[in-house]
Amino acid sequence: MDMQRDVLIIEGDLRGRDAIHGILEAAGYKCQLAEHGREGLEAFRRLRPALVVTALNTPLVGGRDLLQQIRQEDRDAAVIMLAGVADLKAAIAGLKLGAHAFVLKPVNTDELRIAAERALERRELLIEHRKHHPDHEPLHGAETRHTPRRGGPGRARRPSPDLRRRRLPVPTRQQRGGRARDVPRVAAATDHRRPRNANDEGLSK
Amino acid sequence: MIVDELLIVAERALERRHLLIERRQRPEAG
Repeated sequence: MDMQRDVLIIEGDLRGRDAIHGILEAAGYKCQLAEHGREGLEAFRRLRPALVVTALNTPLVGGRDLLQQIRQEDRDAAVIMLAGVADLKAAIAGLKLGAHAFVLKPVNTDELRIAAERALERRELLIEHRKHHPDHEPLHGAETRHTPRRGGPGRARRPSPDLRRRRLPVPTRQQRGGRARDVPRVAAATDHRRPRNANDEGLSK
Repeated sequence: MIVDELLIVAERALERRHLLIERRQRPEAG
């Protein structure tokens, strides 16, 4: 089986774990299961799967610590977090730590499948990017540009050179059809002054 | 949607766009 389709599922809840396993297996992923964080970390070190799907509230080693450990050991690992509504802030913190996405429980089949596909696609694109631009600063990392800086809370950092938006080419004067002041203003002014009908003409006189 | 989440999602979307364009522009991509 393609190594890219290996996924490690770490979820303490048996029913939840089985449900996620069923969804991903049906989508063609080769799944490995772990019921707590420590087991998950051991399995990750042994198998090096391309994708990890982990609950945030995993026993023994929590999802956040797990995420940090995994990202530290393999910066290309794609991680999807499973979060309850109460874990929303922790899930967003996880995104800033490098997780690809989070999926709210109860898990929606399509949402999980799309998240898994996108996570693996992103992993592949980032590996390719690094291969072709080994000197570039990483596009992904522990800190996103929206993480508040030490120098000033909430101050936005400049986007990385890779993500700066390219400006659209400015049209030449010829393409624009001349400058605004080249347009004869008399015509517009004349239009406003022009009477709409014969009555207007009569009133204006 | 929380602001932080929206910003991260937007950034990821732009990143994806950038990486896909970059991939398409590589000579070996044909």
